[in-house]
Amino acid sequence: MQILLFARDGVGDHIRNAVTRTVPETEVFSAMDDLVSRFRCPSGEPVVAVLIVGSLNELAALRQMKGILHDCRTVLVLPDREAETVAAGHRLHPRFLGCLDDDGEEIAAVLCKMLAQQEKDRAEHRPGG
Amino acid sequence: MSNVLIIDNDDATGSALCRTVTDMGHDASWRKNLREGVPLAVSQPFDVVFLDIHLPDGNGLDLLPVIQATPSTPEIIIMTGADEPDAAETAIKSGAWDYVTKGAAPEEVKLPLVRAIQYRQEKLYCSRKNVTSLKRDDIVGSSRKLTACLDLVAQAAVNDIPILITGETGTGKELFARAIHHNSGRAAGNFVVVDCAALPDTLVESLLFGHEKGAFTGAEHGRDGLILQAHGGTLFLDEVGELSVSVQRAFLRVLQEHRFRPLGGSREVESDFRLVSATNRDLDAMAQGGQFRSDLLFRLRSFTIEIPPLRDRDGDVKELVRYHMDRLCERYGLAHKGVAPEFLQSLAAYAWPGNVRELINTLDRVIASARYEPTLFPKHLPSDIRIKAARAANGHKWQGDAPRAAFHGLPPLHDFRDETVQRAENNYLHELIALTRGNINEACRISGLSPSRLYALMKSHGIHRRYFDPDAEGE
Repeated sequence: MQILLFARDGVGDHIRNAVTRTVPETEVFSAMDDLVSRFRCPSGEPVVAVLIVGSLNELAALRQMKGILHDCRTVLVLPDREAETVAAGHRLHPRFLGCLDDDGEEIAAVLCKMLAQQEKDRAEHRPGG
Repeated sequence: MSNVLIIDNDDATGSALCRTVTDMGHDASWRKNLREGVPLAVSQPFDVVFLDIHLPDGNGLDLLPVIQATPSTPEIIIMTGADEPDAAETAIKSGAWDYVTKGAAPEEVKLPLVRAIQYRQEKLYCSRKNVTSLKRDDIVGSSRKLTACLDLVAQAAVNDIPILITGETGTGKELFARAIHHNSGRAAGNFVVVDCAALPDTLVESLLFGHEKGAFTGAEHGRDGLILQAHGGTLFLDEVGELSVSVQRAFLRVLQEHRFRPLGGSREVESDFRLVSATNRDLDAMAQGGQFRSDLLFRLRSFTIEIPPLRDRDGDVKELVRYHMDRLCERYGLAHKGVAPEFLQSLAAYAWPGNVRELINTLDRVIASARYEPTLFPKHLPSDIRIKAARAANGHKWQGDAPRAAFHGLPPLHDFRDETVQRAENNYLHELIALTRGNINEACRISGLSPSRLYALMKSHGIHRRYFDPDAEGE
């Protein structure tokens, strides 16, 4: 299992810190291009992505990457709670939708439960298992 | 031409019916008892079954639901005695197409048969039409079981009742939920996913119902809940069996009234959402054990869609492999790969306990290990899958005269050499372009090729700079 977190420097630091503290193996990316390059490396491992979005432009850029995000479970953190922003966020089909003003520990707790569930599913259906 | 099964122990009636059916241009099969008739109905597709009530080994009406549930879902015409009006009534109530009196003239039998076949053909046509016009998103396959499922999706999309999607882990329940949303009148609204298994117990209620500022310690801002976000759209409760009983109680009221009070709120808010739920758990057993409210279960499953496991979807593995392999290669910026027939045979022989999700993960692992190799062979599969597939194939599919394609001899040297060179060249070019991040001058310097020769080779191998150089997107 791979956990990738995207957040530009200075955006959602409290969430990034909570996630990396709770799940230390998280790979952190602060540049969108680096995230794209990482997604383009086949690894054969399921991916959970935590995407902390600082602006509507970034959200639009993520929507361009929808194909890349296809196979991973996504925790999406939006820049605000405006109805249009929320609607745009749901179009990325996140498994969890939060906002920058959310408590970082909450997001980390959701991520932990999601990872535990994924591990359970994998263990049940691992070939030879 | 239709297939008709007659289950009747009376020689005169059975043979006369066979003649009538074949005279009408259809195929007739005749069995004299349930012990032989029912297995035949299960193993072969029939359009219509003539079913006698009084058979030597039982009452035909008792097995009517079993025959209706067979894969071909035939229409059933009950045969009753002239003095059995109650039996005819029972037959109709049980969902039989019609009933005829035993020993009736052929003309009296023909009309119900013609009508049953006409009804069935129109039903099949409408079903195909529904499925054809359905936006399937990423639902791939054309097996009979998947098509039947898509027909239910089409039916579900045109009404607004709650839907319960069941199926094993990895069958793609969320894809089907999305397909219902995208094909419904609510497609312009939000499709809100609630991953019930991922919500910490302490947060579930505030996330679902929302809360006002100061509703509890740490609630520094007010927040709309997911139910309100689904207003005008679809609320998808994934893994609904994971909801606690207290949340089930609160949600039942929301489902009944579409109104709720956010935590700490003084007024109720309204949300006009359509509910789709999904689970891989046995909710009936949970209801019996007191872990799931039976009144909520009753409301959730106004309409149920059961997604078949991949092992039951004959022929879909190949379509899925082609679709996802192309998609993954595109995502990773790799040339599209060919697949050897043996590769597909191995995948088709494996049971896929983790279903489509396991298949996609496996293809991802295959691509990771065979990144620049143009053709995939069984050796590229994880060994555990190869072993299980080989065991399954040896045990079931490759016995007797079954295909032995995996064991054919060596290819001609000329073909072998060409393929090897092509593969090596492809690997080299991919490494080269990845290493130089699409910088052609640098690639020419390293390879000793001229730019025109390099471009020509890249073109012949389907390699694009943009896969490696984000700035070259417009090329």
